[in-house]
Amino acid sequence: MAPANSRWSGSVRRVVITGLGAVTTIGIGKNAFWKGILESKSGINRITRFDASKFRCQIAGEIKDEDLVAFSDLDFASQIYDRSTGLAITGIRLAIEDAGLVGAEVTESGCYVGIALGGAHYAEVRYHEMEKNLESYNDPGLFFGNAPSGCSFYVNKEFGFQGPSHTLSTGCAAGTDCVGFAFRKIQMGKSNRMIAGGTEAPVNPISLAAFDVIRALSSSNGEPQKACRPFDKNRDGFVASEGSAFIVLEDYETARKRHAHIYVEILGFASTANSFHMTKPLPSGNQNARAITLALKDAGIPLEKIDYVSAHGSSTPLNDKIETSVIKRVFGDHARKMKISSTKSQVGHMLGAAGSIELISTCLGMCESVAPPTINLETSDSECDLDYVPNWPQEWCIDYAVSNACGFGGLNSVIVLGKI
Amino acid sequence: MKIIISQSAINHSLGTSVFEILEWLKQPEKIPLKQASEVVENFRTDVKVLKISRQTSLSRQEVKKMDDFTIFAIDAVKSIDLASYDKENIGIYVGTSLGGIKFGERELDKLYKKGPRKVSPYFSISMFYASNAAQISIFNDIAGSTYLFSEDILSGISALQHAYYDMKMDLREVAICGASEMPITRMGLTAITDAGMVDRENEFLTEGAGMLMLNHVKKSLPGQVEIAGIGEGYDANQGVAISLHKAFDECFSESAMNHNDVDMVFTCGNSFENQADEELEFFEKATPTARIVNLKSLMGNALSVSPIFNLIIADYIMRKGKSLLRYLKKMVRGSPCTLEVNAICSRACRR
Repeated sequence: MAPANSRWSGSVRRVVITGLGAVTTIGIGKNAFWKGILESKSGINRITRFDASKFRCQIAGEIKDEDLVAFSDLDFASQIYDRSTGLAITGIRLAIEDAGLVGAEVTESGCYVGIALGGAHYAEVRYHEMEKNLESYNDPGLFFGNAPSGCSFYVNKEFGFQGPSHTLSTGCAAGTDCVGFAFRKIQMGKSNRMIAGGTEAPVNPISLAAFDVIRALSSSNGEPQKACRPFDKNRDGFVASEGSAFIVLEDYETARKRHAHIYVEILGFASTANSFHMTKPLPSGNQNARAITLALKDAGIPLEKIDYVSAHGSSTPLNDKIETSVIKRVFGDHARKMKISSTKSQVGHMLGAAGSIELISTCLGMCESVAPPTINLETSDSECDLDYVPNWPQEWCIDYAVSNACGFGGLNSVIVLGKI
Repeated sequence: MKIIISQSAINHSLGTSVFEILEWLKQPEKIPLKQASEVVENFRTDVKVLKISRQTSLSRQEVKKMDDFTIFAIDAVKSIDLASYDKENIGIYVGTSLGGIKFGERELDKLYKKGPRKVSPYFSISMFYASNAAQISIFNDIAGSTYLFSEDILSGISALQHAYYDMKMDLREVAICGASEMPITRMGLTAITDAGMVDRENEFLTEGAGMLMLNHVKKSLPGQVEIAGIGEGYDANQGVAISLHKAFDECFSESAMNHNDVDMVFTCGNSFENQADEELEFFEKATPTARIVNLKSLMGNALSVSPIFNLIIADYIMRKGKSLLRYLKKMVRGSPCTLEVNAICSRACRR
């Protein structure tokens, strides 16, 4: 679908999703992840990786290294690069395998990697080593281990991508923005195939401290698996989680020619900024509403056709309430006819990877005609009164879906998907 | 439809206007460089640095909440006139290679010496690399879109490239693009010097921000500088020349210009893995009649901001019809000339 009112003189190509790679606390690989979704699993537990006893929040989504071993020959403990980079490489590999890409089909692709905090833990470890050995410290890998571009650097070394390769860091909207820009690159004809998504490994002292001190994290340490409860009246903050999620996007004709399995089509993408506060959402929600409206316009889809919304649903008191009002404002009466759910209720908040894992969940839901659940929804909130698919998935035909992502700093990004 | 540079803003250790900076470049030996060890406690490697010494326009309360790389960006954008624009239609596309490293070091110290409850409540927002883009949006009520790109020294150019393509697709009419950096910290300097990203003999490290405003217009006015083409190339570890070639070809095919039309090339001059030498060799062959300039060796290495400074200076001298070469005594081949073309090509290339 051409961008609305476009004066773009080139032709605009159709873009489809042909591969999914998910590395999450409820399953690694598309099938295991989806099984976890259908079983309403929670990937949240008490933190084991370090002593979190001095933190208000002592829970998070951790992926065990022994679970990763089956999918990756990387040594996650080696610290050549940040853990988020290892997770990204694993997620991209899974997406490439799922898409059935081999040889030149891989290397001629481009890649967008989204991160929010990136190499924070790498920086933390190296900083302390540096402090202990000021005279003799030397680490040629410090720049790329620490810098946000480091992930992309190592990803390109691993896979040899020769197409456009970029790193985006737009907070919790990074995964969505990466898919959105990859979509644009293919639309414009700059590439036939892109791999896009996000990665994050925030389960470390420095990352948790940053959120803990502003009380953004849940402190429901007694029942970790119930801590992440979007739209529930007793929600008390988000739960940080690690993982990666990558999608293979292709030009429709290229995908057809190689008889690729096509999941869904990406129809539209739009972003806005709240221009309000670094951490608090805009109370009116009008910029988030504008992003959804612009994305629908970009897709050329009337709002009444949307069957499902993948919400940002971060389980914070403010976000969920405002997001509900945004959905009602955009969709009017139709808001009550749609299903809405939050993947974060199960996998936690994967920050830079949140948007892309939600796209994967939406994509699979569309293909399987199942609306993913919002788990831990036990006490209704009068300000969050839409159908959030409480606790268990539901059969639901999803022809068109919207995926909404909001980032720290007031960034709103939205993608519209459609069945082929 | 054309994409023009309508305004630019520079926040450099040598000044906040191109004129100021060019005056310094006439006498580069007078630039007040310091050894890194004089500026950063316990830093041992021999590298020269130059910090911004002027006060920020932000209040003390506001400064407490941000890393310097964000402050530099906000200060730069302050000199861009936004009054006549619909702020919901302005997009922010900025880059950084290291982000908020200074704030991060300070909070790491607190975390380990005093515990997690003593970390600054502003740490989370300064940790996000996108904080410079987001804060520009907040301080200026810009609600179009906000993106942060990070591709080491190409971060700012990548941001500009994405703005350019969004404008070409008619998704955006106005964009603020650029980069900001604050690498002069113990960790920043260690990372950069250990990776060989600064030529310690010929360069000094510096900090700051550079921003450009791009407008999508039907027709450019005389004297306005247009972005005529952009190209990108990726070599997948096969060497810089391959990616340069791809970027160069794409840039020129987009611009419908001939490479013999180029009067001046502002090189990236990246000392990492001898890329500067490969780059020079490439342009000597590809644009044999152009003057090749490495401004970084004179203005300092500001990582991802350096290519943006190149564009700002190119825009200035093209609009004013000045000869840059009379300001430069080193790193220039051929005799001085005056630039007359009214279009520039910006190349984004990547290792």
